[in-house]
Amino acid sequence: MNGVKPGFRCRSTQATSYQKRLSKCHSTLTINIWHVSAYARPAGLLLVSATRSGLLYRIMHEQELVNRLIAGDEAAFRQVVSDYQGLMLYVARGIIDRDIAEEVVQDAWLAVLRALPKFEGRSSLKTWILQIVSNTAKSRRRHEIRSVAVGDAADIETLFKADGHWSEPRGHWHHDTPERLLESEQLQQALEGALQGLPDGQRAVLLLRDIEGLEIDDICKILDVSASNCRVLLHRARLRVWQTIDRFEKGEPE
Amino acid sequence: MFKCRDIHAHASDYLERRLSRWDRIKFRLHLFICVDCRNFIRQLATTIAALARVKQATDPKQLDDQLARLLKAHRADQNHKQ
Ligand SMILES: [Zn+2]
Repeated sequence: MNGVKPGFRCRSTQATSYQKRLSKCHSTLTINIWHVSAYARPAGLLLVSATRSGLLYRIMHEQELVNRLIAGDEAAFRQVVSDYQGLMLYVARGIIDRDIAEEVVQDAWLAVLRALPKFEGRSSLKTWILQIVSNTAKSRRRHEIRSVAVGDAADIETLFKADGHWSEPRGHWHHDTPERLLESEQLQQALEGALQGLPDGQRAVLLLRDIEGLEIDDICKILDVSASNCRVLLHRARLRVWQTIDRFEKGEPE
Repeated sequence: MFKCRDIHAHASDYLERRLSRWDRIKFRLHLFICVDCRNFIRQLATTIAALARVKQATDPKQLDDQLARLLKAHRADQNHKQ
């Protein structure tokens, strides 16, 4: 199955102040495109606009959702699995080996199920679930001390001259707003390829920060990394995505 | 003085306002004189803003499998309680 299937889904997130600041610069546009591609992967990427919602709304909404889950409401289960399964898998992969990540997610779901009556809404449901994934993954890990390999940075050597200046002038992008970037189907594919191609640790941090809008502190706790490690991972991941778009803008092959 | 290479290395810290006061001044000073780096920062900010519009979608097959397992586990728990 290879193609683009239109869908209409909105996500309600609590936008971080950082995302709000970014969104001030750009008008919001709803893009509802469901990407399904041929190669095997845990999840695809759905491009949607982030609807802003207040804290109170989030708490009421999530408590109601949790109550429905406790009552065994199938639609509620479908919603949470649909929202979190892919994310949980990527987070698990950011913590432990790929081959047991799926098992960890299975165990984490059961732990979530059992812990639901204890959910108090002090953190968002998403953060709460991801923390359970994290605890489950950590309990399966053999070594306690860990530092995530930060992966290689974008090709610094070719980007800069020996004197530290850009080796080529940096022009404007043709698609110079997020809306215009996401309008291009080919670019969406390139973007998805870039995200799938990131090292596991980088991908987990980028997803949690830039796509899901979690705070750095929460990300550090979930992925069990130091703040400085987390920032390096995030910046490297962003640079890789930036470079993918840049190559696309220049018409260079991947 | 910051070089273009330093701007590239510290761009996220700049955008998220995590640079020290003095580094921030040096950073802005470089942006003031360097159009390439101004373009780069704009591109990176655009990249991050575009990422904020991407959402994880769960593979439909995985969704169905996981859902079935969870509902089964839930029912088993309920029966156990009764
Ligand atoms: Zn420069």
